Amino acid sequence: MKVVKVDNEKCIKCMKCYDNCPEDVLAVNEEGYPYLKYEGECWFCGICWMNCPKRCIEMKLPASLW
Amino acid sequence: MITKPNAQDVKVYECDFLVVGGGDAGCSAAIKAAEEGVKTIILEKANAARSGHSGMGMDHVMDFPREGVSYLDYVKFFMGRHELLGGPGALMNPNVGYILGAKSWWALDHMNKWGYPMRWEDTDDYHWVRNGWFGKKIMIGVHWLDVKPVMAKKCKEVGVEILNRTMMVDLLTDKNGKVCGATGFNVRTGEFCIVKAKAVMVSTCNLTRNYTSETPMHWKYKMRYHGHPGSVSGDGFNACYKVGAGLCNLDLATNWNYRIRDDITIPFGSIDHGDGIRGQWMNAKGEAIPFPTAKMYDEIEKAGLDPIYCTIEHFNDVYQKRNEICIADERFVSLYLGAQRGFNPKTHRYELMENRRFGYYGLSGVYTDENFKTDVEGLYCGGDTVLGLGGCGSACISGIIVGDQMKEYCATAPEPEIDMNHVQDVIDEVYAPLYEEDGTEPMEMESSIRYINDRYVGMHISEGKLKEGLLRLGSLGKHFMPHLMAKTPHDLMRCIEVRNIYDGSILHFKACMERKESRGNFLRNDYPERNPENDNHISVCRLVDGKDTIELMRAPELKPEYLEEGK
Amino acid sequence: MDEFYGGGVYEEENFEFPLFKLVREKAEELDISYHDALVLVKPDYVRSCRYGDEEFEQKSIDEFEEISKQTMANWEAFMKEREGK
Repeated sequence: MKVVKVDNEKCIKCMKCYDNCPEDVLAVNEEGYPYLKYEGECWFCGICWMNCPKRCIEMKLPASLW
Repeated sequence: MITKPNAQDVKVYECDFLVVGGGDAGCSAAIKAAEEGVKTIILEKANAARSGHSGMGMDHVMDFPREGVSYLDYVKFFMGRHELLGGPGALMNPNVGYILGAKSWWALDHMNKWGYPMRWEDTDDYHWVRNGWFGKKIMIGVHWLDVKPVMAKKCKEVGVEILNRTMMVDLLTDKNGKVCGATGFNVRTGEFCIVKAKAVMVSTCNLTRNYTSETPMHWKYKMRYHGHPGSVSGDGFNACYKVGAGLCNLDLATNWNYRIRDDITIPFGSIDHGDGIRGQWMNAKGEAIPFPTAKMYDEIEKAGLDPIYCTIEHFNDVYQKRNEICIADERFVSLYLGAQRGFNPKTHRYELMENRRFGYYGLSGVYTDENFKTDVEGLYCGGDTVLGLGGCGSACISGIIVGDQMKEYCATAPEPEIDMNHVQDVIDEVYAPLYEEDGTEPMEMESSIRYINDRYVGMHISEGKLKEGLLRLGSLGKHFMPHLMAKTPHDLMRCIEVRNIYDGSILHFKACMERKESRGNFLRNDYPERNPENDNHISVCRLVDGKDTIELMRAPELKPEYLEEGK
Repeated sequence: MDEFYGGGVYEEENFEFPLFKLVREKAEELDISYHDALVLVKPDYVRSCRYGDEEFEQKSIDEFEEISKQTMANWEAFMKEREGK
């Protein structure tokens, strides 16, 4: 399960999420969209989620954190 | 495809003042120094605009003695709050506490001038908040959601060069042992660099990620522990130790506290921001209990009345809203994640985990004088890296004090002379995992280290467990540290972090073995009594002639001039 | 729940923090980030929290201190009973 998902339909590739992630868990794919690459290292700080100008980042809690 | 460079070919940056760690202390130090014309560089392994404790925000800043609280009162409080963890007596340098209080207002002037958002709605004064430990209104409630972007912008404005995504690997020293810079590694491009400097301040928080966490898969989603961002991996501790600084209280300081089972739905470990009204602790029957110490928890467990919980259901509607404000200021995403879990603080009780250790905070750190100067020439520390210091406000204050000294210090400091053989050794170490075909991933190594700390230190310590744990850790390190495997610069960063967590854990074990007594929350089953001769002593780990040494150092007295001025 | 868990509610369906509801609605209305919406709605929310109303704060604190005293007394009784065993 992806704990951080970027909706590419809405994403404008501003890269605020990628530029600011304090744990460097995001990367940029071949199409130029940011995505969660290092999933297990995300600590849910929410910086990407709160700063996204199109609100296209969703965070979901997985079973092991439930 | 990244390749290992030769030391002669790497990029070299030159400056007067190098700051390692672009958090609250680091940015504040850099701004102060640069404003005075000191050429300043920050090495930051993330992005200074959103890194460190205040990356997501912060809701309060401490401390500013006022309203009848003298500097001497403040020193007592500063020293006293760590006695819960470490037992009676002085466990740090009281002069550091004194200066943090005495210079707080001067530092606040700077913070205001630089645009840090210190004010509250509809008041010309500050929003004064009771310090939970002290009960006095000496903390400032703030809306620091965006303080880091403000700091980063100010840094750039005054000419600080921020090397984002560039992690310090090790400090560099000249032939006299003076610190004269650091090696750096770009965690995205894989490039290596050297930063030469006349003075260095290390402000990389302390050491965490060396204990397991309250999840069945503690190698996933658990880079972060209560009170700390996930990036804290003892980078500065290790670097300072290796150049000869004193690393203190690594035995006492593993912060015991109740980890909330689902701590990511709340800000940094705190449920209550009640400003005079605290959270309630409860047993499993819903009966209120006082804040339980480790021993009290044992009694509750023996009586069959665990788990225990923390709740703010008794907060009236206004204080419930205030709590939302604090969450929004400090960790906005918790309003989103907490709701995802259905955790309504008006009704939910947050389970607190068993007595467990989870890392270091405040009581441990590098020994400094009250100017935040270490015993090593050219090396300063700031923020939570400093012995005894904790809190974002104190971090800023310490940084500004260091930055203030740089113009004078750098004016007469010698030009840095780098040992390129040492640089090559560091390069070889950093890039080695790239060439490991069938090695160990850093997260597996980190999880193993955490497991060993947890199993063999834990809350109830004994000689046999410590020896076994140290042997096991030593064996793990011998067989697997040289064979960490990485394919990307990001994973190379993780390998460096694992090295720092590992080295810190070895010292942690050694320090615990050396302390043959029980004290505060340091509970040794084989030495259950406190040795009063150890009161007022700080345990100091220091590298001497390549060997780890640990000794008890008498805590210094408060200087006579402070005793006089501080009334 | 029974006597255990004291009747606290474990989770609530469809719970949303009141502040977040305001943020979300503002963000959707103006099509901005959650952060920017928070910046817009927070000041008025702060103003509704009676900061600076010292009489109200002191009353709230006094009520809590009463509870704390009783909590401590209950604990001491509990420990006395345990020690007697």
